[in-house]
Amino acid sequence: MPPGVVMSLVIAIAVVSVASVARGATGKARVSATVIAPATVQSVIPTISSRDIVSGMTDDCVQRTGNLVGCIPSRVDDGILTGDPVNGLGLEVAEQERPGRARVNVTVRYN
Amino acid sequence: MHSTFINKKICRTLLASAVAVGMLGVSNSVIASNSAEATATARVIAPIAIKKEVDLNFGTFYPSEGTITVSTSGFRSSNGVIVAENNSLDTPTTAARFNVTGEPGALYNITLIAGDFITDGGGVNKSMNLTLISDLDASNTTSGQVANGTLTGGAQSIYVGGILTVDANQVTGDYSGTVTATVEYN
Repeated sequence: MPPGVVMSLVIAIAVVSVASVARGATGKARVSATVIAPATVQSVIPTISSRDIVSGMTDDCVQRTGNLVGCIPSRVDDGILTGDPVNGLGLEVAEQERPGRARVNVTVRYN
Repeated sequence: MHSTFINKKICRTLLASAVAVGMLGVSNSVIASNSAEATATARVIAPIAIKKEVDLNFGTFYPSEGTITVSTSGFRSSNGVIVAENNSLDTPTTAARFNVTGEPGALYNITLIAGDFITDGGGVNKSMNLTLISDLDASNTTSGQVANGTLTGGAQSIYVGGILTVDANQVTGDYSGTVTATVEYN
């Protein structure tokens, strides 16, 4: 191909490219999100406030032992909790001889 | 005498020829003097340009089936998906914003394309479907896209939100993707 023809083609392509740039433009933005694992409660609740428990026998036990944990064997139906924070988890304490029930609100929250 | 007569005849012939040629020249000059004028005009306009100012962020949420929407004003809402609001792990949600500049008063087309939205974690549910939303005034739009605009005063902003579809078994991790905005004069 003669050199003159090649030069003409190059100039034509350059003119078309410049026209495209002036007529249109493109920009990019980043998109982001984070998925985290939900919180779970361990199978044993170690500390319960004695003020939330209504029971004469439990109260006697607390007075005798000095703490509430040893007076209440724990049995928890645990599972996956959803939400953050999770409010209103129920805790029922039942005694064999003198039933006493109370509902304790437990809140689980990520730090 | 004979030569004088011939000379006179030749002179008259030459004179007639000169007059004829002169008349022909005059005629040709009259034909060649016609002309006309045309006006040439051109207008130089500013090239169109676009620049990203703000990225699109959906914040933090838990694997739960449903959708999360960030409107064009950056407000987040969810349908079925539990978001980590009031949590130190959450980040402020924002709508993307592009600033467009160019010829004042010019009309232009807008095209938005969402790339793959994916995390580096393994598993089947490591990507999420992203549907884009856009408007030109950040008026809390939650569906649809704007297709064109007008460069009033030579500038305009495009606001971009989106809807993420989340799976109940969505893989945990940081997800990222891109939104490509292309503008072109009509």
